[in-house]
Amino acid sequence: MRILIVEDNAEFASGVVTALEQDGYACDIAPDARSARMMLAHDSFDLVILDVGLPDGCGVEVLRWLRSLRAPNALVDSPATANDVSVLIVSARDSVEDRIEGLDAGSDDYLAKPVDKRELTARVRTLLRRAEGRSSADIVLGKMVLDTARRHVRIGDATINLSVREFALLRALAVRPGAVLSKAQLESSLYSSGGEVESNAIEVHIHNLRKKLGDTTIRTLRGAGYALSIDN
Amino acid sequence: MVKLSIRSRLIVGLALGLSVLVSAMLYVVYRKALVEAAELVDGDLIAAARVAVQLSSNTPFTVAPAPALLARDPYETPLVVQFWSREGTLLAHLGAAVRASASPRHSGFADLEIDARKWRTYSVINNVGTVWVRTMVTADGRNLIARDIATHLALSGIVVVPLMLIFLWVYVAYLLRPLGNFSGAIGRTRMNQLTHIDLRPEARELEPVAGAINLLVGRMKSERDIERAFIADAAHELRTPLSGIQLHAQTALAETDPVRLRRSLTSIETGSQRAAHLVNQLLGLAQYDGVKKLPMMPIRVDGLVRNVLATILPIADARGVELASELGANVAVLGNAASLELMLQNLLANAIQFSPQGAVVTVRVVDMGRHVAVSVSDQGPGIPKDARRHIFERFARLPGSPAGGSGLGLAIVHRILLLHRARIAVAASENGGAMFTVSLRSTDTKPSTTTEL
Repeated sequence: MRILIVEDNAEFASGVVTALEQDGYACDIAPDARSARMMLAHDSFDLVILDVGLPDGCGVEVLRWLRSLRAPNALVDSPATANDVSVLIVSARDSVEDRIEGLDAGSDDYLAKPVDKRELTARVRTLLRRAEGRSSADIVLGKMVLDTARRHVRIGDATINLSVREFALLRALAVRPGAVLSKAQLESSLYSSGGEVESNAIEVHIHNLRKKLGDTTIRTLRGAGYALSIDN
Repeated sequence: MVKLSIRSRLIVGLALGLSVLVSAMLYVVYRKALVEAAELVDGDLIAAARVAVQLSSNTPFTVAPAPALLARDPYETPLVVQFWSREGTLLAHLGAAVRASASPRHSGFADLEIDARKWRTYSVINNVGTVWVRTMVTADGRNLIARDIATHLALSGIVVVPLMLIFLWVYVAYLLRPLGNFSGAIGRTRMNQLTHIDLRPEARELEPVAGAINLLVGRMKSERDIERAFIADAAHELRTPLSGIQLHAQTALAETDPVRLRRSLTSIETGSQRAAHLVNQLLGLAQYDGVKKLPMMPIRVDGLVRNVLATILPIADARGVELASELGANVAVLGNAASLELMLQNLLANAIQFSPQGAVVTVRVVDMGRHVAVSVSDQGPGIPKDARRHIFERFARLPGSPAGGSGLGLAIVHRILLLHRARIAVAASENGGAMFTVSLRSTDTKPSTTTEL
């Protein structure tokens, strides 16, 4: 899960990033409206956390721009991020008018600063599962259930605890069961850009997951990537 | 001093004025009435004397006893007629008996005093030269008429003046009603709906007052709006870094990895420092926002610049920026040292923040005669022309600004220079960076001490 944080205040942005990274999300920061547009156009994100007051314009304008874009891939210059990506406004402005303006401009949720980490991450989880079309925190794949709120896996009555990264990787594969994800795609949804990633990090996590969940859970497709087998 | 209403002042003033006026009028009328009455009485005396002379011409001279007077009239002059012989004996008299004093010797009017009473007399000798006739009235009777006229006038005055004052009392109240309505309209205006008081004065005289009030209200409103916006902005600006600190702290509490924990704690530290910097800048601005005047004295510019360079040097060193100064000659300005140092500190801190590593920030002091130009130039990215107008606004930040700026530095600079009535200009420096030039007023008398170099 990759999240773009559009925020000009460095402290707050890094606070959001560390809070979300702790829960296994990969994050990118855009410190102004111009770079936010650039990143939305060239990179794919699952969620955008948007500040309203930006030094070169209003976050709501960025949101309107994003929502007004045509469906992805309809044009060559369409952005990598879908125009219907979930957007959470996190703003210091908390008046009812500000909230209404933000929500009407196309935001999916509105959070006023100061932000509690638990609430922020809960809202992020909610927006992400809604974007995936689920109303429950559980992703059910046959006998296996991924509890995205508690970040563990249940198979039958057994509860299996996973590390943050392991869960994030499993979750990335579970969102579209059967789909093949490349190593690069998995890395981008696990690691924030700019951070150092061990070259075999994904292989290590896959190995650990197979140990915990069973060898047949994740299939390796040589040269293509990995996929979740949903037969069991 | 007792504050009297316009109404009371008007009534008291008019009552006093009218009383004086009426009294003066009464006095004049009384005097005039006296004269008129005297002329009237004199005429009567002559007429009576003429009749009496006719009687006295009969010889031998006899006087019938006086008939009872027919009717008394309040204004009937108590007339006395005396008949005297040529030898000076009183032959007869009509009217009240008056002690025979001296016989008349000259014809015509005379004023006599008999038994402490004043008499007006008219004497004439009959045409056969045998009998003197003297007609006389007391002066009291004459005065009575005059007094009566004056009394009537005074009475009407006593009635008219209060009536007039009552009328005035009511009329003044009516006249002053627009003023009452006017103050009522102002009184009903709530502070929070202070925009334009809809004052429709009913009197033309109040229109400039209404205009002045609305002007004041407008100014107050705009000032209050600015203040409100500033407080709201300040609260929002503080909320973001504090919220960041909170997130870092919550993350740190849940962190087990010591490296990550340390990173979170470091973020909390820098976040707190920056929040503290923001608070300091807010306080700095508040300090100079509240004052209209600063204590000014002659300041040596080179000394001021050296002080600031010394305090700012650690920051420049930490960022790998070099500081250079061209302090020119021995110049002094009229200013407030503490505020000018803060002003220069902010300009230099900005220049250092925007400078790439290894760049030079230069402070120049140039004597321009009546002004001293202090400029700070950097080798940073410069300020786009269209942004230059807004950079002195509070919380204005250029895109791509380094993190940690409060957005208040140039607002503080602007405020301090406003208090100095000094100008600041923004331009591009020789190497594309930004150059801020401050023009400060020179002192007329330059300090005699030489610059130590």
